[in-house]
Amino acid sequence: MRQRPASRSGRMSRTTQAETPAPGTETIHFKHAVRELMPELLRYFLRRLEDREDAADALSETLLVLWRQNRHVPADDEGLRRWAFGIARKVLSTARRGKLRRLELSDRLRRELAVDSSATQFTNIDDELRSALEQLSMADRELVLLVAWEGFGVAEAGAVLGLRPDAARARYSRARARLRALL
Amino acid sequence: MSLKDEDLDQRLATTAAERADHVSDSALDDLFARTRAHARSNRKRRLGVAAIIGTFAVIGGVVAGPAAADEVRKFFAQTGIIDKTGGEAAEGSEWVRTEATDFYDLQLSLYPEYLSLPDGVAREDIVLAAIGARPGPEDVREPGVLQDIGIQYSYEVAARCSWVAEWARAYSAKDDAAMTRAADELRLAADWPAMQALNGGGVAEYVRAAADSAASFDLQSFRASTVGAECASDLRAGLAE
Repeated sequence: MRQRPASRSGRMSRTTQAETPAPGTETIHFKHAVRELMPELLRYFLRRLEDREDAADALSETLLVLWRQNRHVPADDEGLRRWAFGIARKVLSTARRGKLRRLELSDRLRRELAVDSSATQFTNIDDELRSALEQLSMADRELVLLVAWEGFGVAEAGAVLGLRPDAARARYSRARARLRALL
Repeated sequence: MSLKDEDLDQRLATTAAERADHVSDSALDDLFARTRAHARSNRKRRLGVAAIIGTFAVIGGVVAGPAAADEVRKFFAQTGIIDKTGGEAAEGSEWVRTEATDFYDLQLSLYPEYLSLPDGVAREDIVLAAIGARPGPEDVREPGVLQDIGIQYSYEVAARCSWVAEWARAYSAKDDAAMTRAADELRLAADWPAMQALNGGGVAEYVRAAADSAASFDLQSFRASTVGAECASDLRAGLAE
């Protein structure tokens, strides 16, 4: 099974012990955890949205939901990560429908992404693979990519998508077999 | 010969362009601080509004309060958070908590009464296909939030799939009338409310095009439309090559 990519900043200590914040408050751990997830969440959007600047707005929307919902956020890091990607997936769906708000909050990040696009866009595109991925159902494609790109385990990726572990494993296996056959 | 597992992994890894690596930490710090401040200021504003509403509720609550509260908030799974801006949620859609003890009951309450079903398909079949069986006390409730409109969409997908299966059955049975009825129902399914609310990327148009193929009794086109791609394998069995 694949491991989650190692944290680059090392800012957040791994915590499995539950903290129980009072309603409406946020713990220091939660703040650090959110900050730690930001590069991963940004990559998630950058890999899936054609317009890099949309990724800045998508990240902003995701963070706003995380801040608003902090009372309901799982206390352990892995649970928080699954939860955050579950939010991100819904924001991505909104972005793909062209209904994402353009927020002033993300101006600076949007500018950086815009400046950087000419140097980095489409350097590693495998058109054949992309085409094969598009032939999978949305859920199967996301299951495969959450494992391959975000380093989730299959059951964890299934949890992000609302699938039970057994169902996730079966779908993952079928989706990979289909991909292999298509390539 | 199909690709080897390790080759597939390699190609997937290569395709994951690491474009975020070029973003500065300070830009992320800036976004972090600004979204947090924004959410906190909104929370204070909501609390202020809630306090005002609460005052009026106390004044008028003797008569109307309990009934109104019951109407608005019937399940613990409800969060009361409804986005009217078209932001992170579909407009007017409420976020619901998946780990709440009454989440399953909330899902049951969201069954869309407007769904039409083929003969022999019961409401219970659609419920089972859309939200699964009622979890037992030992089942883990994964924490998270869903939009209520997304749950309704799951019901719509299950009902639509039942018409896909019905068309396939009718095709095998050479029952033209039943095929026509199924094609008509598929076309109507493209206008169901959750489909319309979540119609990103022209999915409704896609379903209508599939319905046209179904109405023409064109198995090849109907199969190629992959309208059954979201359906459980048993429901699209009749479409298999």
